Amino acid sequence: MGELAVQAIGFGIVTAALIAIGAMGFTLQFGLTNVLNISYGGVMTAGAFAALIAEEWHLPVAIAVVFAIATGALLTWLLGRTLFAFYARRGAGLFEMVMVTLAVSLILQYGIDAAAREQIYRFSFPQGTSLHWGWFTVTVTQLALVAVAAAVFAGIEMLLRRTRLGKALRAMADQPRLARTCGIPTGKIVNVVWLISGALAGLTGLAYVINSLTIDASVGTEFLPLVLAAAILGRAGSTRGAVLAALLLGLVTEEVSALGGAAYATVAGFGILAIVLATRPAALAGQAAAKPEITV
Amino acid sequence: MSFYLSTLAVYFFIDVLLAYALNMQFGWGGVPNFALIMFQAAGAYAAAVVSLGPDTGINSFQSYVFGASWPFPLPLLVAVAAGGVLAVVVGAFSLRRIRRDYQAAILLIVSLVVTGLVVNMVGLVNGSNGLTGVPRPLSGVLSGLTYDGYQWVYAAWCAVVAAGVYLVVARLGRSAWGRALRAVRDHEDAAATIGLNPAGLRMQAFVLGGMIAGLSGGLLVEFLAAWSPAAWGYAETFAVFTAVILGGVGNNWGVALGTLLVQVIFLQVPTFLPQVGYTGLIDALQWVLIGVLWLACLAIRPRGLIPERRYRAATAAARAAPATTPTPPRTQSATASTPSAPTTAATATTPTPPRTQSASAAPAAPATAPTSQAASNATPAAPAAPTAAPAPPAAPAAPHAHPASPDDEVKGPQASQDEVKGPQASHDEVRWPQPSTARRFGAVSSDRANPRTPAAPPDTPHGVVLDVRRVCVRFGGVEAVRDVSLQVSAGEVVGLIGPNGAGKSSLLGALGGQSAVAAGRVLLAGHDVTALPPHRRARLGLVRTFQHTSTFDGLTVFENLLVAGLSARGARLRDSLAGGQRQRAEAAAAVWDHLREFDMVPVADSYGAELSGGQRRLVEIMRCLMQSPRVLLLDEPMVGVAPHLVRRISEDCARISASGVAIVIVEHALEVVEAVCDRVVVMASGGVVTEAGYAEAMSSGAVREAYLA
Repeated sequence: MGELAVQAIGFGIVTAALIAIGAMGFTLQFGLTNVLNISYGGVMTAGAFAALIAEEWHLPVAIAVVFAIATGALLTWLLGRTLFAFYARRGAGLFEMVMVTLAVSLILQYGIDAAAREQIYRFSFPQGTSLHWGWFTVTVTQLALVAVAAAVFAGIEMLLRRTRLGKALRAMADQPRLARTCGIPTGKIVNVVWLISGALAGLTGLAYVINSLTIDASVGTEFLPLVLAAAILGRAGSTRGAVLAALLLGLVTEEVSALGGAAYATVAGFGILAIVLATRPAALAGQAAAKPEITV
Repeated sequence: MSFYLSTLAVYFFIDVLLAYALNMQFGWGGVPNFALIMFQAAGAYAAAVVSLGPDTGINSFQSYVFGASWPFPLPLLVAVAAGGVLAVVVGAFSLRRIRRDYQAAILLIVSLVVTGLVVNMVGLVNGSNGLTGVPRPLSGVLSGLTYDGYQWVYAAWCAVVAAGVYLVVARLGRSAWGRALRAVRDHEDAAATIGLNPAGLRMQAFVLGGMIAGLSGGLLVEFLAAWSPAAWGYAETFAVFTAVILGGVGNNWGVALGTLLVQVIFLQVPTFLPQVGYTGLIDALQWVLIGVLWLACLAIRPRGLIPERRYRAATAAARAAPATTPTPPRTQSATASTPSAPTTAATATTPTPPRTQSASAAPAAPATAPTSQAASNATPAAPAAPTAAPAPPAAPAAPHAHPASPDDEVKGPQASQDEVKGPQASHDEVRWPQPSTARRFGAVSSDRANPRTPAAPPDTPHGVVLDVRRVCVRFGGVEAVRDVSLQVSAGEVVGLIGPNGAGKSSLLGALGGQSAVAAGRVLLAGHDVTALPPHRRARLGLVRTFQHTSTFDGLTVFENLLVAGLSARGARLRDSLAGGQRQRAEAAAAVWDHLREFDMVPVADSYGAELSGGQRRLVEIMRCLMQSPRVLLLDEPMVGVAPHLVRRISEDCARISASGVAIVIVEHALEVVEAVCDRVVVMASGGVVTEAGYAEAMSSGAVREAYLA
């Protein structure tokens, strides 16, 4: 029992890394544009399938990774700047934008499903050797995933706090109109954010299937709720919050899975969200007061 | 073929029910229920387990909880109850005050989690294999029928149920309750300031919707005889959303049309198509097309094929006029029996002599009097105990009812008395602290208000109505309001001025209940309201406007006012199903008076969303006046209002205050402050700098300091 629990901490951190990568991309974009982008799940799937195609073509692993990231980034950027921007210009509100992204999510998921002939594919990615420290067991690839998550976190923090672009981005997230009138190139910033968010979505999709080894058209939509939950728990726009929430969700789901049965893992994760909602509604209420503006 | 058609018919009526459920929750209640299908599932499972018979245990091929074989109508009732109970549970945490996009995401997550739970907890309702063998209702009685015949009978039964639900839903949609619900949907804070309980109304709509969805699930499971998680994937919810949005959110016929197009034609026609590609390709493409269709709807016809019907008050009034009397036409109002007092407001508000005959009988009383009477008459509850509660302090309004009583002789003065006092008594949920003074005041001024002589405005009653004691408001670490004390007497107009960021709006928020008071107390006529939510304060007569636009955009101007006139009690669900005509008519008369006074009759039937900024301001102010407030908090009321209307609003403020209402105005236009206010309170960086008469405050230098600091 104790061993299981300790092992689960290791798995929990890996799962947390997966959730964190996705949640950071999601929350960065959400915090800036105020579009709760449900199509993020579909983009994750698309990224994973891009990697699968690279693998089928027997391209090197590095190329597969680039494929996944590039697909996610391009797809998200295109969606953001064309479709979402179109609806935003027509005055869609917060909820209307959710509906738009949801429709895109349906189109992506079932479009991929149709193209993939509704099959489940095996995804073989080199896992590397297993490492053992006491009760912990992780593969090199899993360690690499955690490292990637840490690097992404460090990179985004640097971008936000140390660069001009980051400062402009934070200014714009707070007061888009004021930022525009101050001469901040808001269009450019939105581009950057869609690209980063999409790249992270593609990466998340890839990381998810590296870990699960199978891939079908619903991987993104299956994983999205956890990513969403982490982003909401961590507060929109806060990468630190997203990482902390991801850590919490990852550990809880893996512990529950180890001790109480895999079936209840995700349910437990959402249990946390429900508890937070029930006990600390103020965490979300603060956002209801202000009228957030959609900027895409 | 006949079999196929009858099946389609059953599906159609069941899906229409589901669409009505969503329309209730989302179209009127504004709750983006992405977990809708869960409520149908709850109904279906509940109906199944109470008709499947006891679980036979280990030998059974399926396991489930409870298990009973209840006869025909009971499983459906259980289904309704299951949907309702689930809605209470889910609503308890998902209907909190959160952003709508968060709310949608959370409901979606809830839906996915519940699916996971049902699949994993096999003992509950047999996991992913689901339940089978649910008996078809009344198959014994109807055994004479062919299978095909039974199908058609079942379709007819579904049609009857759908029609019944339609009648209820349509009635509710038109009722004061429906209007109140839509007001909450459009602007929660503003709805609370007219005494509506946003959380309560939304929960009612959510539960009603849940019950309807549960009913549809019960009907469906009895038809299909089986139910499993595959039948209620989260994507099904989006099919319903597509149907509702395509057909027309808020319109019962629209959503039925949308259901026909999406659920029946769009999702069923492909089954006629020849096989294309591999198995399942068409299914997948269908969902892709649903997505595209959805995007197209939002882009081309966001309000749907048959949009929500606009409430045409002018037409309705014209139709109603010959029958009763109350409503608008200026010429007729004079002879109106019951609501003559309200209608005189039109004449009373302008200084010109009354131009109608009855107005001479009912002298030019201050406008608020008739208005308040109409508003309080409108609250239907009232009836019983006119004397039980002490005469309320809104009493300044009450005496003016007397001038009207001669007219009321038609139906007996006693009745009119009760109407006036009763509703107001029950209006007060708390006992009023100084009944004796209030009563005395009422007695005195009713003496004075001799119907034959034009009534002078009643003496300003002394006594503090609004008592603010050392109030602090904090947002995070910022102390927006620091230790502010303020006393406002009945009939007094206090201007609240100060530079931006001085804490004026935050203070108003603390008074109105929008921002939490971190320390200190707010007393309304001696009663502590510090802990009361905004709608409770509004019902006690503490009414406010907002700095930002707060019209109900999906309601017409007329409805914006009517909803305020009917207010909380008129909007009760129970009363909405029956009666309420007279209250409505009386409130409508008051609405027309206000519209005339502010030159807004031409836009009576325009949606709030169609108005200019200044027009919206006027609607907000009229909405306040509809409620006969005791304390009126105006947050920059003159922004964007045309100069001649600014003057008129100023005059109105003066008259309202003369009738005993305490007014607090936050305003940057100092000439308005000078014209209207008895006293100004200057605020800077969260605290009160000085408090004096206008001239004195201006000359003291404190103002300049505050602005330049």
